[in-house]
Amino acid sequence: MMGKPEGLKLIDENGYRLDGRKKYELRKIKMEVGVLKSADGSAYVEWGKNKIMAAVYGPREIHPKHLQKPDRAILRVRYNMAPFSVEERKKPGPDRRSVEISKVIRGALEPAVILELFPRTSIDIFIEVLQADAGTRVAGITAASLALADAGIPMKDLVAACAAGKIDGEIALDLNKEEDNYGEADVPVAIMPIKNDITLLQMDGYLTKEEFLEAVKLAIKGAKAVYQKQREALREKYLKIVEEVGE
Amino acid sequence: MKKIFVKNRDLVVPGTLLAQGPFKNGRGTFKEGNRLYSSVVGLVRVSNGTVSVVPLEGPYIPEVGDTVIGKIVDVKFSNWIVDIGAPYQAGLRVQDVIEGRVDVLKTDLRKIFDIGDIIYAKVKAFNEINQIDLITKGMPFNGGPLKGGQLVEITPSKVPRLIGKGGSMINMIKNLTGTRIIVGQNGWVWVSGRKEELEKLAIEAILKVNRESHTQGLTDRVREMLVKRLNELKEQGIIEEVPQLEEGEGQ
Repeated sequence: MMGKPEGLKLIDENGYRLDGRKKYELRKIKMEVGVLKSADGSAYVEWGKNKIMAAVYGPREIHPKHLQKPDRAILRVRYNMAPFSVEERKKPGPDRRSVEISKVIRGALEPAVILELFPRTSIDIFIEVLQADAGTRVAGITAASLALADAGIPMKDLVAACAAGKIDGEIALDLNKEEDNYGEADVPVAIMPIKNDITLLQMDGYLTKEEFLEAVKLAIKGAKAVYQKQREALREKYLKIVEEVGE
Repeated sequence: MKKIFVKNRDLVVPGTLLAQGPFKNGRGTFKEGNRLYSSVVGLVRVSNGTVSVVPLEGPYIPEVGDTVIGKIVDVKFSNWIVDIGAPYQAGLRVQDVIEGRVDVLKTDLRKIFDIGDIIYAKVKAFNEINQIDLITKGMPFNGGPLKGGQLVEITPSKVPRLIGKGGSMINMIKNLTGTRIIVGQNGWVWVSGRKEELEKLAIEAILKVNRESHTQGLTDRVREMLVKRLNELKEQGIIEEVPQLEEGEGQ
């Protein structure tokens, strides 16, 4: 939107984007579960150039006691960007943006976790962005949901997330950093696929009503592809061991 | 309409559709209409009309009568606070430790169990507001404290696998390594051996069971691993003899 270099084309005449993807193509996604030894559950996600680590601790008792909910567990999320995760060094610690993202991620994950099973406890989720390249909140949600499943916390469904946006006047899936910076809009969406529930929906930029609906539909499609990868990653942790012992 | 979409011992993840129709939902599952879904990562178990998922990870949920291993985290006026690896801390009252009447003013509770001590206890009560009460009265060696040795943590749902059919797995590890092992149902395992190397070996075997619990032929593989390591230790002169298993043991 701002300061777009003269003559920069996000989609070339053959329909290819800057990183060689088609309009409706996801970036390369790699997921691994159970990467941290001391956390109850953990996951590492590489989503294009995004590198994100998520850790889950709990359910555990919380102090001060007034934070406890007598009928259910509370979910606490901390989204944090490492100072070296972006080109210009980011000042460490929480800022306006990361506090807000922590809050929306909590909202995206809360409907999936069966919190009523553990009254008066807290489940703590830490999302660390080691390298950022646009779409860290959807990658963070994807990683956190994997880490929750890895911690053995009962869930109604995994939460999968993906973003769609508008670049050079066209709706495209999963924007990268240049597209996010110089594109017209970005729509991150998180879903719980079995019932098609949307748990996160945001929009940054300008879209018409028709464009918005198209972007949401596209992002849901992307999230469903991410969901399949999540399921594979969770099974892979155990299937790898089965393979190792040569059954 | 009764339909089941999975087999016994299938590996499932949260949100996997398991069955449709009048099935009972066991642990690790939830119902949505007449559909049954998995809520955890685990292995499916189907038994006469009940579908459940045995989790491969997860916190310890106490049940009355469980024998657990715990760690004293605090000593209060007439009770102890114990960590048993559950989402909630457990309490142990002095009358559940000592027979007869106790004058709490004249007894120093720290002389019985001090902070950091490892105890062997039974879950006496676990109520709706998630208070866990323990009891050590009537437990072997009065509940401890267990001196020396090491504590290993495994996933609570894998404890039956570590014990094996009729204790086959745990007895094999005990006999081959010559260690004393106490398994708590909360997944905490206390291991104590005469030699550090043997203790380490027993722990390695326990962690192997924990890691490979969902595979077949595990007992044989653990035995193989133990015998191989014991032979190595014999060559190094750390142990004199590799213990022999009796017929039918560890099968």
